[in-house]
Amino acid sequence: MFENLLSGFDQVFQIYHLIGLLAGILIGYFIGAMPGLTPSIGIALIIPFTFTMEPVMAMILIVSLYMAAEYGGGITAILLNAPGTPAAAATAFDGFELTKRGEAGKALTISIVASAIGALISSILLIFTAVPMASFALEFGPTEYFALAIFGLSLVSSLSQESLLKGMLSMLLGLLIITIGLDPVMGTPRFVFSNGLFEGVPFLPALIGLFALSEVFYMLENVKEKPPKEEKLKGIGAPLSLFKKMWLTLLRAPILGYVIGVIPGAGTTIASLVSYNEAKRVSKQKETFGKGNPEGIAASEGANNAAVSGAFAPLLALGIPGSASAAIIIGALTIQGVQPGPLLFTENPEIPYSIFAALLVGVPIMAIVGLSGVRLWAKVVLIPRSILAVFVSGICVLGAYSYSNSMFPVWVMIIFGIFGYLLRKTNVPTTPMVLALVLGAMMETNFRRAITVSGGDYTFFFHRPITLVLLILSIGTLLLPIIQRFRKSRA
Amino acid sequence: MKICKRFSVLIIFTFLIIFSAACSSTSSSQGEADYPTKEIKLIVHTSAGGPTDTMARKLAEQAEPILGQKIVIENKPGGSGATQMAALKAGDSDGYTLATITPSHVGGWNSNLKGQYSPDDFAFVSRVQLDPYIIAVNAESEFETLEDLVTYMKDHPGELKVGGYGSVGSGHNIAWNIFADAAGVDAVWTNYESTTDAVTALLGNHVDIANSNPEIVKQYVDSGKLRVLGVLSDKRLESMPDVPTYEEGGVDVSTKDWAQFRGIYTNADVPEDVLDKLSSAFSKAMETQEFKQYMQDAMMEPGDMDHDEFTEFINQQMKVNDEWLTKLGIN
Repeated sequence: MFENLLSGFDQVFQIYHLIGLLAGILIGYFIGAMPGLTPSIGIALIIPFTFTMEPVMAMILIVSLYMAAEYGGGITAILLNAPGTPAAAATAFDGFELTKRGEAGKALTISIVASAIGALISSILLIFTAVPMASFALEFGPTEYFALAIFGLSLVSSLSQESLLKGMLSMLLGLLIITIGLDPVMGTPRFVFSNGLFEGVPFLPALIGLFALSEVFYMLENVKEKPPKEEKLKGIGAPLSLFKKMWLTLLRAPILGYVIGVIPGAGTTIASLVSYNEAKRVSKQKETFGKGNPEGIAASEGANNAAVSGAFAPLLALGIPGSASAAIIIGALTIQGVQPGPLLFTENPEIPYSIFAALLVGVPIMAIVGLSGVRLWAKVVLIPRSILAVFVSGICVLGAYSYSNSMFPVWVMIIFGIFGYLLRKTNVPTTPMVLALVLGAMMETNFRRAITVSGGDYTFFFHRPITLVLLILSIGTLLLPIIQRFRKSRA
Repeated sequence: MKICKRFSVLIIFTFLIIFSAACSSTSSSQGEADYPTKEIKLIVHTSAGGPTDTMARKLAEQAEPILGQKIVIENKPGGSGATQMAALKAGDSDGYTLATITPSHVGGWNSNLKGQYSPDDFAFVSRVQLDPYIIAVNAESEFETLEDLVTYMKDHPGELKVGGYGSVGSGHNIAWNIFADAAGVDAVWTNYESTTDAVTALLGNHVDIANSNPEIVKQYVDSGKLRVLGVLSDKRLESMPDVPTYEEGGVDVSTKDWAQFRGIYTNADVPEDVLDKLSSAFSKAMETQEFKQYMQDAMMEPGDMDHDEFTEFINQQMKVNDEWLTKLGIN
């Protein structure tokens, strides 16, 4: 194994591979930062260019792009409340609050450090556990996925800041939106009044609208407001003592992110939300989460970067894609004439080991690119609001359009922008809705699949251990904050 | 400041790339006698990297020198093909806008897109390949042959679970139903979002059977995790010489009944001689060594049909699909 790993490093350190690595990181960095361009879209865009490359080069480019894009998503989440990727939504909770306080540079530094630590720890985990973890992924059948979705949705009670009722309302609205589209079992249209809705409301344009465009409307309200004072950044941008204080979060986020990333279909978004929730749950200062707590950023960013490595475990060991991006990577490998699957490690060992090496070598490069960008990005908040608003709405339209190279998602984005603005005006949190949009389809499809498989037996869910554990965890996650709140109000 | 400048150059550069990708050129119509005189657009209804996209790119690559013009691939996923159909309809009718077609299109015209689009709106240029349907089971299962499976299912109707891509009425679902109907058996269809997902479920023993395609199971068969019992094909596959066809396994179904095909289509009023030109160019492209190599690597079966044959084939598939949608209670 170490021999293979060394030859992997040997591959990556060849000069043209290093250039590919750097190029992948830079492209990924910008793709991630652009709301609407997700890592999977970025990979899909780069694939045609990899046709003429040799497989190792293609993989190095794609892997570094994937990893950097997952980090880049946090930049605009922090600066503009416009998550560049869905997984960065949780980064915006505290990141944007820090920006509003004029501490954008600090927030950005935390996000890059946490991302780098997340990527590093999870890459090491991946190298040693890819094969056993992949068989864990196979344990997930319909009931497990259903329970996982329920667990994700149960985060609503801790993600709705003030009013649980409003949080629930937001989540239920999201679940209602999920019913639009073709019925997953019968294929009949439900509330489909336009062809673009056959596959449901396009998620990413909706997300851009909910977060970014609604923020534009807020900016327009306060055009006259002066931008915050320029922040004085020392050293790397945040004191070392800050990282020491949250070492536990920095360590826990990657492990959580990696394990969730391994489960096919769960993905980076759930990883970052679960990690965020976990950091908040164990924190002594729960009330500061969502109001600019640096640990919130670290929890989210550490986990979503770790989930990238997690998604590689079933991909490399079994040829099973753990995420949309991983599915596209399988496509890219197939085009190269390499079939990912159980034989990959024996037939093409250079592929997995150069991916491992690329992940490890890529981390410090990503950190350097990220840290050197902090001072530049932090200046974005100094741009007068009137100009910033125009600029952000421009990226919103561009991002939505690139979703399927057509105008339909742009309209969706605008409608959700207005919708998001109205929700925020009435103090209804938008995050539970995002949760529902991410998990709703997974919950419905797998519930119905489980019922089909069990022949209509509803007790089926309680016969499976992972399912049962997840369901019990969900009840705890849902009720705990309510009980705590209740106690507080009585005390 | 230096870093600042470098970064702004990069930002501008990224923007330029994105803009140029987003703005596609619109084409104006020209005479047909010396077709083609400018680049041809081929709209793919799936994202980059999938089997349909790969076919389009490989075919375009080989057809470019034959036609003497560039063929530009554009991905328009979404709406179960409807986004692509709208883009095709918005294009010209002189043969410079082409698109990919699969059984999803046939299914759509018969059900959800009925009244909006029909085969009469389009012209069918070439059928390119067949991606055979196969029946796979977990290697740990007791079923060694197709006969074993059929016998067991006859004794235990409605007990086994079949995983496959798509809801009731999808291409894979109809393929399974045609098999089950001919074999006189009954099993529970469990739909998955992709064939890969269904195969993953089979690996984890969450379903008993997967309705799949050869390329997706190949690695698992080679590594002894899965077993392929039968293939819907007129003759055995080169890549799986030991696997009998459904017919050899005692179930009377052929690719004339139903097949997962991929091909090229365009707008209805494209002149006949342009269609012929395209059809013969694609046919030549399919004969090149590189294309044959790709077909072999991807485990696809040759399915070349010219404009007339393909049109007839589509009409026949429309009928079969409609019959099944009625039988399954969708229409």
